[in-house]
Amino acid sequence: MAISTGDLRAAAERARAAASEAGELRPARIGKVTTDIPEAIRAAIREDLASGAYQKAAQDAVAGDPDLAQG
Amino acid sequence: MIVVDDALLLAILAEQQGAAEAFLITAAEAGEVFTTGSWFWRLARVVARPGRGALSRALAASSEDEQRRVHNALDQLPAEIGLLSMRRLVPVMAALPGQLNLLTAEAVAAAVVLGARIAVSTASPLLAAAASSVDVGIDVVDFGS
Repeated sequence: MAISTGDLRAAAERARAAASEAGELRPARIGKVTTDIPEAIRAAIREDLASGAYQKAAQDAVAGDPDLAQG
Repeated sequence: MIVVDDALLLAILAEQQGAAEAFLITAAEAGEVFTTGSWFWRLARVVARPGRGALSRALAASSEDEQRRVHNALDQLPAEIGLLSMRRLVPVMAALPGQLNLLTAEAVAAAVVLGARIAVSTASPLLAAAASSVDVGIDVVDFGS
């Protein structure tokens, strides 16, 4: 059975209404994101993101799992 | 509202201050950033798996206490980052056109429900096509910029 745009719109409206009623359309808390990561690790993360090493590691980590491939 | 991938989520959690991440940090502070369960899961898989990058080397050189702090920080999604449940998303995922994998369907459905754009660190033809088919915009963030 083909999915129509109308079906998608209706599903999205139902999901949005239910999420809104449950207060889920915004994060549970608003404000600055802070974590307890040491500076040396932050620098390593910065390096891996800039070099593409993180993205390569992510590909390797989900290899063989087509549902998590960002292809 | 922005739905971010695992790499951008990592940049936010690590409070990266580069030009590429500045808009994400600002958006997160304003309560405008969501991610998906699939992207959160990808990040958890990378962190749990020793690799060859700088993060793996830095973790290996860290004390047990520092390692615990990092894992705690990356394992627990802060309340400032939104995450829609599959209870909300599966009916929308089922109504999306085309044959999509879990990661793509969840991301596009979340963006549709939130009226959001999707921000990723790596261009993805599958995700781009799926998003385009339902008029969801995609931004590719270049960490090298």
